[in-house]
This record gives sequence, structure tokens and C-alpha cells, in this order.
Amino acid sequence: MPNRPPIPFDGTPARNRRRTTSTIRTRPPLAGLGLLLATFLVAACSSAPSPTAQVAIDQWLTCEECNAGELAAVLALGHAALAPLRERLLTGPDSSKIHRLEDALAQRAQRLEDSVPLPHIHPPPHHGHLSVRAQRYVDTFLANYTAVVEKRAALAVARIGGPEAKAALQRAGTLSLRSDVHDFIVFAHDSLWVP
Amino acid sequence: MKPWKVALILAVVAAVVYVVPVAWRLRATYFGPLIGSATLTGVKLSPATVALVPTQAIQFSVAGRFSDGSQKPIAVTFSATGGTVTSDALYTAGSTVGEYRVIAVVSGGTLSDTSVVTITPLSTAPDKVTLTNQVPATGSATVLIDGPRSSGCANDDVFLGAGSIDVGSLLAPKSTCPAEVAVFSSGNAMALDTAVKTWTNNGGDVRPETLKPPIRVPVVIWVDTLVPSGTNGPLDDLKDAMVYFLDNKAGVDFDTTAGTVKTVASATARRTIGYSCDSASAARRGNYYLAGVLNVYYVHDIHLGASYDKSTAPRGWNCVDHGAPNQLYVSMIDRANTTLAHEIGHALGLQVPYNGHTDWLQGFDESNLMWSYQDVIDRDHIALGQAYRISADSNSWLNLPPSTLRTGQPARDCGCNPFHDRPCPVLARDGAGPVTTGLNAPGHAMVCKIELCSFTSNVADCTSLGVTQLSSGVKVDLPVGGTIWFRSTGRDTLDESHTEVWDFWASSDPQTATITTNGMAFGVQPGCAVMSDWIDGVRANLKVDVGSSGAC
Repeated sequence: MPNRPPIPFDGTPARNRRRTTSTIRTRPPLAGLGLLLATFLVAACSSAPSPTAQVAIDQWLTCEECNAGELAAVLALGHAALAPLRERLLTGPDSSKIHRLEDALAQRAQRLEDSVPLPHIHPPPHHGHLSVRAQRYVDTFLANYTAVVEKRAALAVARIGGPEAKAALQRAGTLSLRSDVHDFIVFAHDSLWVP
Repeated sequence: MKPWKVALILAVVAAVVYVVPVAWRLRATYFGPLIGSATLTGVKLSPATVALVPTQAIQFSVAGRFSDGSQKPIAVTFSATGGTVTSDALYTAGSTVGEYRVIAVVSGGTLSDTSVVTITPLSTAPDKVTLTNQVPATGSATVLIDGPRSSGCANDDVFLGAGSIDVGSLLAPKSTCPAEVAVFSSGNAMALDTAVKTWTNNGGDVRPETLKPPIRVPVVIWVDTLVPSGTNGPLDDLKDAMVYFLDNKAGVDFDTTAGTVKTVASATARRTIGYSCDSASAARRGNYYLAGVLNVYYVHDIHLGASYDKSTAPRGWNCVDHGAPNQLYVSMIDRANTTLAHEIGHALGLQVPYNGHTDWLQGFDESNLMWSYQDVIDRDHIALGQAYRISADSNSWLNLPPSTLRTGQPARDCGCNPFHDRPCPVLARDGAGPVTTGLNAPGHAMVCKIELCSFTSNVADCTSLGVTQLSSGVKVDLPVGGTIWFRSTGRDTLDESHTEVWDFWASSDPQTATITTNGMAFGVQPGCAVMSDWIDGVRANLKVDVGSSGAC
């Protein structure tokens, strides 16, 4: 699949993802530090979705057929869903989820190797080492999971619409992502809902 | 005539008129009636001896023995010293252990016969199901005993074991318990025996079951060559799916040799395999479809509709809603490790609305194969109730014509199954313990229908909308700028109502009519919009005609 040019972003060149996006370079006074910390805490708390909303978001991000109104449920959350979706779009799945899924996939791969034995040409998949096949299994589905989360987040962001959504999609377009994810972000940006 | 001759004649006549009949009757009384030229010499009551358990019934028979050696039916009167016997010789034992007599006496006579009935205590030995050809022989098979609730039989009872499995004491108020037997094991097809008459109110009943190999489900995988290299391939997915099904005793396997996979050139795939279940896509498939098998299309990505519309992008899809459950799609780049197994589950009877997605249903969690999404938990569990439906539901592809995979074996419509009663075990029934029921249990009762009501000016009108299931042709008028509030109530299999936290409404066309998640609709501009509500994965639709547009 040929590389597509990034979505234009104020003329600046494309950047790699997961670079630190914000760094506190100054040392404010202690009182100011406390106030800054409180501000971050308040901001974090106010932007965190409710448990119910988070479940709705998780359902949409990972649904199988997505024919039970999952997207509609997220859109019904409106702007409250934008922040968590934006985060998933720009940073991928939560790292704790990645680790949990990786563990689950590794266990599954081990079970499958036990039931469908390989010729003994690779190191046995025990003692924390996965065989080549098992590692490929884990890598494949971790990559798919990450891509699906990013694509679904992009679509939901686009459907919510507005300037913040547009900015998020434009930024996502500058990241180095899997080609299908990049294509999807372009599609989402082009179909951005404008109120 | 001389007087002595007259007296003689009179004596002869008197003898003929009076004496002979009396003698005849006396002969019949002491020597039995004559049939033909034979006389009744005795009565034979059968069986002569019998052992019964309390309340058990047995049919006696009786015959007359004649002088010529023949036996023929005769009229008798029955009595018993314990228990009861009818005039038709049906004897029912009483409840007290002991020895009793059943007596048959010739009607109008004294000839008789007696049988001895011994009433023995009920055996306390457990009833058993014995298995042959169980694979693996030492593995743990699951036996499900299921009888009609009204008869007091076992109901969705589960037993584990190998070889000869104790199933407790399957008592019944009457002498038999028509509880069917279903056997699940990891290396065998599900065995289902209905109308079983083995179970009595005595202990030690034994029901033999001979197990057979798993049902080999024919599958062909059509693979779009435009797939990323170095990935876990479609055949690996099929092997994985087989492990899922066999591990969970679902009784099916697949041919996982290389011949199952057929490659389709990318350009051809995108143009001909299609991304949809509609008839146009079906027509385009042409040579890339085999009748009588599960056709699995591994495509780059899935878009519902003829055009390249990314707005849906499911990970997998089954065309069961279009009458084609044997056509499945899997997105190569989006799929989870359980996507193929999940879609095969839909093909094999685990279909929305009743037996499909298991989100938030009692007895299920995210580890279930049919949970509608997979986040970080492997969907590796199939409940026994689901395994039952995979084999026995009439909507399972195994039982749909032209499939002959289960020809001659029982199948039934599990539908919106009542809890703990036939025709099918409750969906969440498992070998791990009882299924909690009741509205206060974790999860929710399975919703079978949604009742829609509309409110205007705080007046409820449920009659005009009625009760609907998946979708309805119900249409409601809404003026431009007007509001109407829809309320839905999930009703479960026991026709009990409950609300569901995931009850939410959505509009197909917010530019025509909007609706809040709790059902408040607002007419925006003339047109038609479909309002959908979901409860427990069950969806109900109705149309809203805004401004009397006539567009619905």
C-alpha cells in the first residue's frame, strides 16, 4: 500500500507519534505548583467519562459487528466523549489494556500450541518464552486491536465534529500509523461533521 | 289311556321341564359352563408372582382353562388384599412394603386363581447414564437431564463424569419421568435422546448412550490476497475456532487442512466477493461460493453496502439476517483472535435476538464467545446452553436444509427460551453450577420483546403501538417542532417487565427527527426517520413521519 501524504497541519512536517506532547519547562513557585497540580486534577476529573459512558465507548471501540447501536450510544454522549476518544485516537489503547490483552493472547497462544503441536524445531514455548508462531499470534492481534481502536476513535471523533475534533484528526494524520489506520483517519477527516 | 300310562307321561314331562334344567345349572355351578363340548376347569391369573415398588402399576391378564386343554377369556371379578385393582385387571401397588394377593374369581362361580405381589422398598441406588465411545475416555463428559417442569422431573440438571455417570435419583410423581438426556464431551458430538422412558421412581435406572465423533462442519475460506504478510493466517483462525468449540464441548470440528483455503485475486475479491449480504453482492460472488458449506470470506476490510463506505467497518459479519447464515466475512486487518469463531457461532444457531449476543445477560460475562465486543478479555467460553443450540436449534446451520449433517436427529426451535424448562436448556446453563435467575441477579433476564408506548401530554398510549419484537411497521406521526416521548419496556421470557440500563434510543436521520437516549423525539423537518431502541441486545424499531410527509 503506497504511503499517503499526511493531512495538512498548518504546513508543518509530519511528526512521529507518542512524542511527549507537553512538557513543563519552568519551575513555578510552590504555591503555583500546588495550584497547577490542583488544576490538572480538576481537569482530569472533569474530563474523565462516567463508568457508564466509558463502557459505551469501550463497546464502540472494540465491537464485532457494531450493529446494536454502539456508535449511536457514543454519539449520544456528545462532547463528553470527545476527550477520551481523542486520547485513544492519538495515543492508541490504554497501556494497561495492552498489557492485559498481551497476557491473554500469550495464554491463548500457548493453549493452541498445546492442542495443535508444532514440529520440534523451535524452542519449547515454556518458561516465559513464546515460540515464533505464538509470538506472531500475539503480535498480529495486538496490532489489529490497536488499529481498530484508533480507527473507531477517529470515526466517532469525526461524527461528534467541531473544531476540537478537526484538530485531533489533523494531528492524528501526522502520526506514523499503520497504513489502514492512516487511510481511515483521512476518510474520517473528510467526512467530518460540521454543525 | 290307562291311568298308569298318563302318570308316566306326566313324570317324563316334569323331568324334562324341571329336573333337567336344575341339573344343568347344578352341573354349570360345580363343573363350569360348556363351550362346545368342553367344560371350565380352572382360572389362570398372570403373572403368578411379581415384585413391584410402591405405587408401581402392572397389568394382569386372566383366562379360563377348559377340559379340552384350551384357554379362553372368561368373565371374572378381581380383588386385592393390598393396593388396588380395577375391573380391567390394572393393579397399582400401595405404599406399604409387604406381600399381597390379587384374586380373580369366576363371575357367578367359585373357581378362582391368586397371584402374589411383593412390594419391595425403593432402591436407593443412583440412576446412571453409561457412555460408550467417549473421547477422551477419561475426560469429563457433561450430562444434561431435562424434563418438563410440570411433571416434577429433573430440570436442566447437570452431571459430570466419565464412563458411568451417576445422575442422582430421577423420581417422578408417576411411574415414569420423561426427562431427555443430552451428553456433551470435548471429543464427541452432542448426543440428544428425547422421550426417554428409562427413569422410574425406583433407583438404579440405567440409560446407555453411545457417543459419536464431532460433526465435521464443511468450511471453505476465500482469501483476498491483499493481506498483510507475516500475520496469523485464516487457516490458523479456523484451527483456533475448532479448539474453542471442542474445548467447550460444542461437538463440532472443521477440516483444517490447506485445501480449505482458496485464494482470490485482490481485484477480483473487492469486486466480486463483495462487502455485503445483499443479492447484488451474492450475484457477484459467482464462482466464489460453494453451496452446502460455510463460506468464509477473508477480506481486507468490511463495509456494509455496495459502495466503499468506511462508516461501519465491523471486524466480522454473518449474513444470517439476509437468510444466508453460511456466508461469513472476516476483516483480515481488524479481526480479533475470536472473530471467526464468533461468526461461526452465529451461523450455528447463536443468533440475535434470543440466542445471539450475550451482553449483560444473566450468567454471562466478557469471556463468552458471543459477547458483542472483545476488548482485553479472550472470548473463550461457550455455555452448555449455547452448545446445545449449536447442535439442536432448528436455526443452526447444521439443521437447516440442505444440510444433512444431523439428518434424523432431533432439532427444535429454542427461540426465546423460558428458564429451566423445555424445549431447550436455559442459554446460560453450564456445568459450573446453577444459573441464577430473577431480576435481582447479576445481569438481566433475557429480553424477548420490547413494548413501546408513546406519551403526549403525559397521557400514555400503549395500545396504538402494541407489543413488538425486533421491528415493526408501526408508524407514528410527529408534527414539525412537536415532541413525543417513547417508552420501552423489555419483557422477558416469563413475561415479566424490567428496565435495562442500556436502554437507549437512536434516530436514523437526526436531520428529520432527533431523539434523546431516553426516548424524547423532536420533529425537525418533514420526512421519515426510524427510531431504534435497544434493550439487552434486542432491538425494536418504529417509524416517525414528521410533518405528514408520507415518506414512511
